[in-house]
Amino acid sequence: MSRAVRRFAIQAGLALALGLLFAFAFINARENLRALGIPTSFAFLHDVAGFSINQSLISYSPLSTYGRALIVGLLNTVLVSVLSGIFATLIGFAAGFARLSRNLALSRLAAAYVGIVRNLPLLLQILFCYAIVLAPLPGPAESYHFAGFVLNNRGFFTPALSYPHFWPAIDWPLFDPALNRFNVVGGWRLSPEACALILALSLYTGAYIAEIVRAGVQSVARGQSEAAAAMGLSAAQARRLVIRPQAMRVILPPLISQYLAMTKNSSLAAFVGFADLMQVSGTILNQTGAALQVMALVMALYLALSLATLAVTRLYERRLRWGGRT
Amino acid sequence: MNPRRPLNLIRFFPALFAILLGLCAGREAGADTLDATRARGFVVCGVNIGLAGFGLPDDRGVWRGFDIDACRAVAAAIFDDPDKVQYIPLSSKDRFTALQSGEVDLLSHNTTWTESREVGQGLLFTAINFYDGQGFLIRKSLGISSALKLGGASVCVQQGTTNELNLADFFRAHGLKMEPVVFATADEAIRAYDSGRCDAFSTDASGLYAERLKLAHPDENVVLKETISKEPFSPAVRQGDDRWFNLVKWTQFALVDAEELGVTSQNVEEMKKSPNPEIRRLLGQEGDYGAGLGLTPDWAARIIKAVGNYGEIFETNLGKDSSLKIPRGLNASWRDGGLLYAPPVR
Amino acid sequence: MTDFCRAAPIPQRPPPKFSRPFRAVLRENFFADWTSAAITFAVFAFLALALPPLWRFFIEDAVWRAPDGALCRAPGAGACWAFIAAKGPFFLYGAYPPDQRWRVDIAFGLAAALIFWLLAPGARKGRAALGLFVVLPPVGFALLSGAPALGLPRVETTLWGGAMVTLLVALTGIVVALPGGALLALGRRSGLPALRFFCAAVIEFARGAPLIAVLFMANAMLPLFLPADWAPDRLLRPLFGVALFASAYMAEVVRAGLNAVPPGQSEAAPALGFGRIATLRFVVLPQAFAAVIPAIVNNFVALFKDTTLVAIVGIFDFLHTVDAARLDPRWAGPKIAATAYVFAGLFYLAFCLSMSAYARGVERRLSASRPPRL
Repeated sequence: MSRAVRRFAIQAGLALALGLLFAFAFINARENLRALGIPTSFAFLHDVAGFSINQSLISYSPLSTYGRALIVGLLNTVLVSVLSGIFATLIGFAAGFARLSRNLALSRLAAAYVGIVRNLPLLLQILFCYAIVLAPLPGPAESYHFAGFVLNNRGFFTPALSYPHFWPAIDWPLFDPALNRFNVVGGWRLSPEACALILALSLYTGAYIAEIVRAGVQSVARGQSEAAAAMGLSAAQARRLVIRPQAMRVILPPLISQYLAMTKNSSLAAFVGFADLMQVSGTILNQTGAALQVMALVMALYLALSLATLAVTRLYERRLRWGGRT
Repeated sequence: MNPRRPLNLIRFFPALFAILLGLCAGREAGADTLDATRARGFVVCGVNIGLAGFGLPDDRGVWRGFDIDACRAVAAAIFDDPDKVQYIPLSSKDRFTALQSGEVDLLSHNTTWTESREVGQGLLFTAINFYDGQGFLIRKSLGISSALKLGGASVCVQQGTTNELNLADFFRAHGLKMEPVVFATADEAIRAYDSGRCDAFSTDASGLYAERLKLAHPDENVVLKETISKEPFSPAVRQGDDRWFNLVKWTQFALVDAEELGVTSQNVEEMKKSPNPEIRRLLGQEGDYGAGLGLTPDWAARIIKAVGNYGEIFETNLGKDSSLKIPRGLNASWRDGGLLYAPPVR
Repeated sequence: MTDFCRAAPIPQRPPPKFSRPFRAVLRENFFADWTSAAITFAVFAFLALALPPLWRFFIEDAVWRAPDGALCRAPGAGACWAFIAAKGPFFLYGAYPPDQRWRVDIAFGLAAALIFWLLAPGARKGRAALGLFVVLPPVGFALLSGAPALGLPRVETTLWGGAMVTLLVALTGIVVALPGGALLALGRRSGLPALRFFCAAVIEFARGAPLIAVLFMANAMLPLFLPADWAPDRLLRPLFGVALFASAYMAEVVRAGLNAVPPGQSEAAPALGFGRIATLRFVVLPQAFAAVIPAIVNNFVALFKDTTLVAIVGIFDFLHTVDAARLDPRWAGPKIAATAYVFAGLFYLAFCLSMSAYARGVERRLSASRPPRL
């Protein structure tokens, strides 16, 4: 038998086996779905959701559709990912440079942070942040105030822009028992669940970024900074013009995969009751029973988020890629 | 690299698959649930992960509760042994999938009977065994007596329940604002309420009494008198198996009829000699009402002997003999002003 | 003629002593300049503020022995270690019947022995690998789940919980992911487009989605794709999800290892008369695996941490057990949460840190045996 024929036969066999497997799954799914009377179209997305969501970037009420609820969940995932991404980057770079510091106390402290945080499950850290760090916050009547920001066990409130008379005005958050004896009124609110999630995600991802930064800076050969000094560049100039561009090339690819992992990790929101994409889709799945469609949508949306993150970081990567080596 | 090499390793795939499939418990949930149950030797019952009074393992891991006794009654009817039950704890979120997929024969999970669950998810609810309504648990210090005063409050609630939807409905209907704080389990929700995250905790009134026991200071919290919804609980089975549906349904009816006729687990043997034809029919002394269900004529007598009548089950698990002390209320017999009314066995 | 050559080599001399006075070391590392001194001062001030309260809470004021939560609820009491002691067996075995727990001990003892055998330097790896990947799964399954034919009563998976489930999920991930990942990686490099496409699809699919979504899907959709009467066990479904997820990640690690093997190796082997399988088995795979052992172990650390996510489908793993136990009304109190989470943290730290330490050790050995890269 000639090689080409054998190659073809093997591939055909594989395709056939896979085809049979899929057919098997498909027939079963069709049988099961019909037997159970589960809907198989996406029409449910236009039905009224009926449940409420406590944190939303767009207007949403229980009268909105399932489709809109899903968008609310998606935007919440984006919100948490972007905020955590910013904080994690700040923490990560700070801790990474601290680990490289010649001061032993500082570098050991940073090493302890990185070592502990990286070796604990993220879920444990989220639960810890929620139950231990945020639980002692006072009720709305005894909130902490600073510069117009309000912090209490109902969330973190920031001043927001509003347009009461076609004119932008600042909407200050305040607690007024006459308006609402339970909660702070006005401003823009980040729920405690979101705060716990963002806090834990930033600390966790920050520890990974710290290691990436350290490896990146260490990858720049020592001769580079010595050469820069020899050419009369100051230490700051050497850092900005010589070390950073070279280090960033090494740092960026693993940094991007950290951002991707973080976006996926934000799905742990379901454990603290934050209405992210995963939690909202869980509720929808439960109410409609449309397991196949909902899971397909969730998978597609997470994939889209990953691709979007990649696209954004690629733009930055292209800026770094001036001149020569990549 | 040689292109064909990996396929030699592919040979191991079938072995891997065989191991995986071998681990799949071959549980026959085909068309006839009763035959499958008999062949297996026990009933598989989907129950709440843990709700005091309805279904909760005790210190020695034995499941006890109102929903548990519903399962035990079915096992007693089939096997004459109420312990021939396997309990699968299910979260509210995935209880219906478990029933649909054939993982459990019967869902006895303080589940509210609604139209969409029955029509849209391929289930059949058998018969209402508990009339409940959604209420609120609040701190006494708030000094509130009506849920209508909760406008603007944060309310902790469990995800994937009718409670979540009723809550939204109630506040919308009264034009009030509310911040729902949604958790996957009742435990997490009550914990968040206890930590001050919410002003109120909302679930079915029966559950409020049970969850209140978990608080650090149960006495500092009260259950508001009013209820905001109808929550009729019922066991559920899969659609498409009428005999099994009837068996579960009539198990419940037999419990209610027994209470109405005064048959208890204590006196069931003497009652067999009773001259009352209704009692004689129920206990299998006249006519054969078990055959159509696939059971022997004394099916109801077995159930009552094993788990007691409805009243006994209620009082041990939820009522005055339990730590919950829930009043009979709507769950009293129709003769006593309640809603319990079962068709007669004849 | 060779008079001018030494007959014997000069004995090795110890490296020159490099010692500096303690004060110099101290100054260089802590007080090099004013900024450094300020930083040092700030760090020590932070530690002085943070450590004593922690010490008091977890050691000095902690309640070590108590029949129930009353002592722990008293004002001024610290961590409630008595709670951990009382719930210890539950944290380890869940609701597994107490008189059958020796079966769990044996199963995991066997697994631990095999893993140590496999990791021990210089041992015959072939048999250890055979034991871990072929013998252990059926034996462990029979031990844990029961085999009525052998006199072991069945223990339903609904009773399993605690550390044994965490270890089971992690072990399943490891045992499936190593061969599974290698197969997927080889398939992805294969010359057959159909196979390549299939493997790439599986890998990218599992890596593109969060593990929670994969678990959720395994839980909700596996029963839909199988005939109605198969209904896989509730614990088996997340195991399937974890195995798929771990294999996909492992495949990428192995692929990096395969890429690190110079192409000359797999060209030279056939020239020496090696067949396809022999080339793979004796030349390519050993080098590929050796190059990425640290990455593999780090992958397992991540997997071990990810086992906590099976709680989303209602499985009682270690963290979930600890989290649930702290609601027990007999013990519930303001200090229980901190105690429970710190205890859980120590458990995960112990496992993950020792795995990380092993990975670092191997890395050091590997880099020492490799010529330095220029």
